[in-house]
Formats: sequence, C-alpha cells, structure tokens
Amino acid sequence: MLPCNRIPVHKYIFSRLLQAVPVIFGVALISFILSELSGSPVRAALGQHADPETIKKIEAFYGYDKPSPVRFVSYLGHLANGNLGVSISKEGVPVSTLIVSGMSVTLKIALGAMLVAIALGVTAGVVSASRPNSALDYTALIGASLGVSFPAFFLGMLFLLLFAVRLHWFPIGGYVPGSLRHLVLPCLSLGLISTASIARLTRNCMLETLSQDYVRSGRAKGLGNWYVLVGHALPNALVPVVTIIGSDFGGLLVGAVLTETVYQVPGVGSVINDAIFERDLPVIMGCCIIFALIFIGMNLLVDVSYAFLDPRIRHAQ
Amino acid sequence: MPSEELLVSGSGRRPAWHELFRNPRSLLAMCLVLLMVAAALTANFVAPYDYKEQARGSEHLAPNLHFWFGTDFLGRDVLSRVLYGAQISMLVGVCATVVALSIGVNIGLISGYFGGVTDSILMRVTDTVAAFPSILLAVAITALCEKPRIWIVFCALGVAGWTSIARVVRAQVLSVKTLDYISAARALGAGDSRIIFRHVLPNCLPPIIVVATLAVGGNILSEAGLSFLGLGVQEPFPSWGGMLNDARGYFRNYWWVAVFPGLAIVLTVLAFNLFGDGLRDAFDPRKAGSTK
Repeated sequence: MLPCNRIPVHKYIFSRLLQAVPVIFGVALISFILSELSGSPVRAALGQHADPETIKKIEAFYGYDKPSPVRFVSYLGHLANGNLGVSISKEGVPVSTLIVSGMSVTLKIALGAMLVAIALGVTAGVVSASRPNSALDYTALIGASLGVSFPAFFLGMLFLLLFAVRLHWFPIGGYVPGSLRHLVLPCLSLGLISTASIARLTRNCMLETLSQDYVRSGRAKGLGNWYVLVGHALPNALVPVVTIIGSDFGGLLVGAVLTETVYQVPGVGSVINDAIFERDLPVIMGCCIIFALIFIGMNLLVDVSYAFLDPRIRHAQ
Repeated sequence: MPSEELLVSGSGRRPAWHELFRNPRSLLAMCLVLLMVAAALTANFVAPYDYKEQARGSEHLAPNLHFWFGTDFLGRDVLSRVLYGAQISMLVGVCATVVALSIGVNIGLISGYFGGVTDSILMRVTDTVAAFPSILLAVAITALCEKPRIWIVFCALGVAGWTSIARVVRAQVLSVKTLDYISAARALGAGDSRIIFRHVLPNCLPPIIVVATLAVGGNILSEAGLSFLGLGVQEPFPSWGGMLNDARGYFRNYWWVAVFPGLAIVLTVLAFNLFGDGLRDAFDPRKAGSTK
C-alpha cells in the first residue's frame, strides 16, 4: 500500500486522499450510468401523453440531447456543487433538499446506534476475553451470532412490540424534534445489530494481545487482572476495532434507513420509501451517491486515525 | 468481514468434512439449513393452505389449532406463507451468491494472479462498487425495472455484493501463487489460464466455499430488506421480507403477522452463518479457537 518505509503522517494522509479520487470518480460514473439507464427525466416528468416535440425542446433546453460523455462532465460539475437533480414525484423539489432534511434524523439514529454498539460491544468483548470459553464468553458469542443474523427492521419490530406496545416505556413510533425518548428504541435496536461484530472482533483482538510479552510482564509486575486488561491490553486491541467501526458506519446508515421505516421516523428512510413507492429514481440515485460518499469519507477518516493510533502502520510496509 | 488469510487445506490431514461433523454447532446449522431447504422444496405438499387462499371473516386470527401461526390481514394462513416464503429466500439467496461468485472469483483471480496495473485497476473498481451500500445499489437497480422479477432481484444483489468475494479470492491467490508448485507448473510450460484454473483456483476453494456460505445468509438478509422496502417478489407470492412489509401497519395489534416470518429469516441466516463458521474452522483447525 505504501511505497517506502518511514513516511511522515501528512504524506500518508495525502496518498490515502489520492487513492480515494478514482473511487469517487467511479462512484459518480456508476451513478451516472444508472441514471442514464433510467431514461430521460423530462419524459418521466411530463408523462406518457406529452407532445414529442415539446419533450425534444425541453430536453434540448436542459442539455439532454447532447452525447453521454458531455453530459457526464456536466453531471460531475453538478455533483461538485451538491446538485443531485430534481425529484420527480415531489415536483421541483431538489433531491439534495430532501436528503438533507431527512439526514439530520438519520445521522442522529446512526450515531446513537454506534454509541450503543461501541459501549456494549467493547464491554462484551473485554468480558469474554477475560474468561475465554466460560459461560459468559459463550453467551456473548451466541449473542454475536444471533446479532449478525437479525434484520435490523425485524429487531426494531420486536422492540416496538415489547417495550412500546406491551410495557408502554417508549412511544409507539413517530418523531418529535428534540425528543430523546423517540430515538431510544431505534438506536437500541440498530445498535445491537452492530454490537455483534464489534464484540467478536474486540474479543479476538484482546485474546491476541493478551498473549503478548508486555502483558505477561505487566502481570509479572503484580498488576491486577483488570488493570492489565483495561489499562494495558485494551488500547492496543482497540486499534483494529476502530477500522470496523468506520466500515460499520455505512451499514448503520442503511440500517437506520430500514429501522426508521418501522418506527415511522421522518429520516432518509422515509424519503427512500416514498421514492421507491413513486419510482422516483433521481431521489434513489441521490441517496446512493450520498451514502457512498459518506462511506468513502468514513474509511478515509479511519485510515488516517489508524496512522495516528498505530505508529507501525506509518513506518512498516 | 470474512477472514482473508485462510490457509490451504493440507493433504496430510483428515478431510474437512470429518472436522465438520464433529462440531455440534455445524451439525445444528446443517440440520437447520436442511430443514429450510426441505420447507422450500415441499411447501406445495406440506403447507396446510394455499399461499393466496383467503378465508373470509377470519382475518387476523391469533395462532390456533387450525392456523398454527395465525392469519394475516386478508385471512391468509401465516404458516403456509412462511413455508412458501422459504422458496423465495432460498432461491434468491443461492442464485444471488452464484452471480456474485461468478463476478467476484474471476476478478479476484485475475487481479491477484496478474498483479501490477491490472490489479490496481480492478481493485479500484472493487473499492468503487464496495463504496455503495449493497442494499441501496440493489434498490436502485431493481427500481430501474418496471416490474421487479425474481431474476432481477438476485442479479441486482449479486452485482451489488461481489466485492468481498473478490477481495478474499485475491488475497488467497497472492499467497498461493508464491508456492513452489506454481513455479514448477510454469517451468513445465503451462500457460496462464491453465495455471489459474488447474492449479491456483483449486487451492483457493476452501475460502471461496466459506465466503459463499456466509454470502448466502447475507443475500437472504438483503432480499428480506429489499422485499421489506417493497421491491421484492410481486404479491401475492409470499416472501419473508414482503410479509414483514405487509405487517408494518398491523403488527402492533397482531404480533404473529410479523414475528413468524421474522423468526424464519433469523433462523435461516443464523444457520448459514454458523455453517460458514463451522466450514472455516474445519478447513483451518489452527484458527478454530479464535472464530468459535
């Protein structure tokens, strides 16, 4: 990945940024091809019975009669300006406006879920690693296997049935701006899904770290078991966990989209839902691009923080 | 993320299936998988009712002796629909994985074997496709088509989900191609395609089998997500995700319309995941402890 030994952090960051450029270009290209396949938005907006001459005129006005490469360049320009096109079903509303309005709620849910996942996952991982092959470890592992097998929306439904319908602890759904109670169940049900992978990874990394010499010398010095676990082993074991948290965030966002649907929270999920119902392709494509860009950004962030966390990454390879 | 460093199964060991049958979790997983496959194959004979048969006046019946899993908002038997739903899940899960394998394995082989510019380009392509959340990409592809048909669904899932397979295969090829017998084959005058398909590919099979098994579970989950968003198989044919989609408006009052299809998804995906883990341990007993 890195060409030479001992490169300074800023060069490493620069080379990672450079690697992201073709990927972002590729994302734009794939999105462009998919929108091309979906046909002319003018035709879709005007309906089947529109006058062909009028369609041609409007297409020419917006530049849809030009060859594909030319349009791709202008498409890139639009993207760079944050212009994702116009929604078909909600006439004239820019796609970016729709996504931004939903994203604030979706991000809240995804971030909340991430906090749940990190807190529970790391704890479960450390506890299982402190007693490998004990009943606790086994329970945590079964939980982890179950977690990766649950569709986020189904867990959401179960939580809603149990905590809202049966026990009345939380509202049955919907969203009131500023209300935390409405976000607890979505965050919890979504977070528990990601807890599984984080717990599993933390456990395996902890076990690996615990077998290293400096941990043994820590124990030999007479340090307490928990001090060795949390003070010495955990920081090193967490480095790979950071990576998975980054790549999981993309999954969390998509999970948030599905979970929102269950809880009737007006986030990007409901935007996508409406778009699917109305076959509003520009909106779906817009969401695709935004999620892909967030994913690329998160991974960049992870790689950069990785270099700060683990000096070996910078120097080795 | 599947492990990218599985070792080549050694020839001196007991065969991998021996290891597999000794592991109680793998056995349980295998039984569950067989059960679901059996449900899919025999749904037409075993299901007590037809999947679209509506019993007038018996909408939303709670589970009882006649309708073990209750009835849905149209008075259809939930048990029968769950059984028929296994057909869609299995079909889409397996076919999407085949599509993903046919893309991912080829790209991984070419990328790992030839290296250099080819590798860089193919890996950037992989990064690009991987950047899209696979469900959303599948949503976009499915939404392009007027009517979602089943082959469109599994092609979309396969096209959106081959990247992890390509990476696993590439990593495996990188380690296999340095082995002596590859140099020996080349010294004997074997061409690239012969080396790739006769020598490299067979030694990449264990990790491919593992990721493919895990991918079936993942694809069943994604299919459920797609159907939940209303983009799966067309009504009235049941799919588990579609049943959950139908249940959205009713499950608060009638829990059975959501819980049974949901549990079917969880059990099936769990089975494939455990089976995949068991296979991984069987192929590579050295790492068995860490993935348990």
